[in-house]
Amino acid sequence: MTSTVTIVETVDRGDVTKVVVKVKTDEIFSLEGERLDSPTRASDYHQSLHSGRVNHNHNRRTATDTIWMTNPYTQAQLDAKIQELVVQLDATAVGHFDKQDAVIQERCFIDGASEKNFYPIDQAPQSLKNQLTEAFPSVDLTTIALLSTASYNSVVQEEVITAFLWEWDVPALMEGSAELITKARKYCLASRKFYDRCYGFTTETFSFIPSGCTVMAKSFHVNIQSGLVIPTFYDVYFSGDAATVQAEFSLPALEGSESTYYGVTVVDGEVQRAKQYCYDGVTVFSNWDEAMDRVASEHGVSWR
Amino acid sequence: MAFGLQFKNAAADIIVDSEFPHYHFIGKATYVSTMQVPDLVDGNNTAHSTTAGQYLSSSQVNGDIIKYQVDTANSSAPPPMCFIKPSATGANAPRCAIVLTEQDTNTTYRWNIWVLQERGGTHSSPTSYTRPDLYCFSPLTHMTAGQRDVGSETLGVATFNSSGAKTYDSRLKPLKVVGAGVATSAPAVARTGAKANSWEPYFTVDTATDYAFSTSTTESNATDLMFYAPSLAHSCQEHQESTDGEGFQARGYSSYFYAWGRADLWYCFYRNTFRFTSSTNFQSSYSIYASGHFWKSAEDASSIFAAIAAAALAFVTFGASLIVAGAFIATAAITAAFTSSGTASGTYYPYTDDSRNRLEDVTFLLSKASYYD
Repeated sequence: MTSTVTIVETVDRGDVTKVVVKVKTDEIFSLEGERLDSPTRASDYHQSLHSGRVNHNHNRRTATDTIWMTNPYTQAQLDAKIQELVVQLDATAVGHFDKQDAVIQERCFIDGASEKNFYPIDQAPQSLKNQLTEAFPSVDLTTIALLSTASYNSVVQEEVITAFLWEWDVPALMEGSAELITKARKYCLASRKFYDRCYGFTTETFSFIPSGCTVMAKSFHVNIQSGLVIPTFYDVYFSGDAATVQAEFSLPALEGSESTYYGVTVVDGEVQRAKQYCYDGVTVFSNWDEAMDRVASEHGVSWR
Repeated sequence: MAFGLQFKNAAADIIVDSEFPHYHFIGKATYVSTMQVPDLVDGNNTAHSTTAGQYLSSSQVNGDIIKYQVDTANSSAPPPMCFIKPSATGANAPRCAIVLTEQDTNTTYRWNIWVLQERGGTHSSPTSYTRPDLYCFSPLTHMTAGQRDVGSETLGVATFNSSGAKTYDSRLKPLKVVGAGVATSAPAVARTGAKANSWEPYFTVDTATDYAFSTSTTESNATDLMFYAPSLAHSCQEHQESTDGEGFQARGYSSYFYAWGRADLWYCFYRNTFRFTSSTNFQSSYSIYASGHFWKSAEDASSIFAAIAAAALAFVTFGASLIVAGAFIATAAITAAFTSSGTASGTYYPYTDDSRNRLEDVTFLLSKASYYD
């Protein structure tokens, strides 16, 4: 491939010259991910790709850079610097245009609006990881299995990022003497403190849960760092008919195409917020019933 | 001179003048904390846009901003003169400079001093160098009682001005300047080489200007030297990429054409920093103060014509990327990150690839730390 070089601007500043260069690749044509010579658009071959409904792409890449030359300079010196750009652009490959979207494991809507997404750590947006490590420089990302986007917790009254740690991915997880379903670390971004939420089994009944729904878990909090003040609250997680839950908690009609589960946050016996957990595909979280069965079996307890 | 006292050296330079408010050592500034300007990385992708390079380049390593404080006697005191005693010297020593001196908003006789010192390593694995010491000086009349305390020493020379205020006291370690020079220009920009490197642009500083100096004392040990030099010049450099494409997405009878475009902007904002490369050479260069990477993608599949128009719109200018930047900075989390670090929020992208103040003369004064230790 031979990229095209355009000198956009040359400004002599006395001791230096500013040279703005634009380098553009040839078209990078690919068919089902395989790079091929670019066809003529009007060719029968290209038209057949359309009529045959064949995935194909015509991609390009352009780099604009400013090079500063110390005066006096020779054309050969400038060419050498431009060549550095050309080499980089010439190396552009089909793979550079592959889209590798992060797979969202869970979409959680809080009171029908604020959306929180969970990602596997290796697919989490870099900006999200940066957001966490900016607030918590000592966090070791290799210890985290799943990471959520930040969302405002109206009970804690600040933005919170949730993480599931690898060390909690063990059979029959315990917190003291409490048998847990799982556990999550809550990173409070403003106060720069964290606490852990434990998801435990429960046999309690809750008047605020609509009849017909199945209560699955109740949370409690541990490891609340010194200086972090949060009210006493818990969450109840359950499954149920979507329309019933939506009506009970005035939630919009949000459902995952694979499955949907629910949670409520309770402060002083009152429901403060309701959450819809939506799964658009099979993910690590998408089948709470199955996960509950497995974890209950590990603990040797019954949950239904 | 109707009255008063002057001491002169053999070259007739005035060393002490009783009317002049001589600067005296008020101590080393107290280290407070170290921070970095928060990384700024944000952008969006569309269904078919590339997802390459959604991070800062490994060469975008923001320097340490090392915060110190020192007290003077009152709020009317002039800013203290702070000499930087670098933690290292030589061709690979970290460059540093004072980038801010301000009165503390809560305690008006207290001064906040920020030193920018470059960091090594890569963006994901940066390494901080040992922080420098700040040797601070102030006129005698603005020194605190503790700073003016001469203890039990009764011998020495003191001068008083026409108002009777003490202006010089040999017992209080007056500032001794052992050398000086003028750095007449900072480099044109921080990096003159091309920055393209796949989706990891090079922002490593590759420019420096050397200034030879001599000292009034035989100084064979550069590690004893310290300098006073204002950081006036700054540089902002960037690398832009635009990617685009169009294609055909097969999806049975719902197959469609699409076109997309993505614009990327990586940038670094540098401040003028210095180091001793030897006992006779003072080097002026730059260190990264802040950096960012923003991108903006657009896509249209309503028709091939609309798609091409949408794609073109995405990379007409990088204004779109900066709108993304503005929105990102306004998010609660990144705002909190700025607040926590104690820096004003902003993109730190003041102008396109260039520099400012580079031709301002920077007079650097030299002294020796061992005089005050």
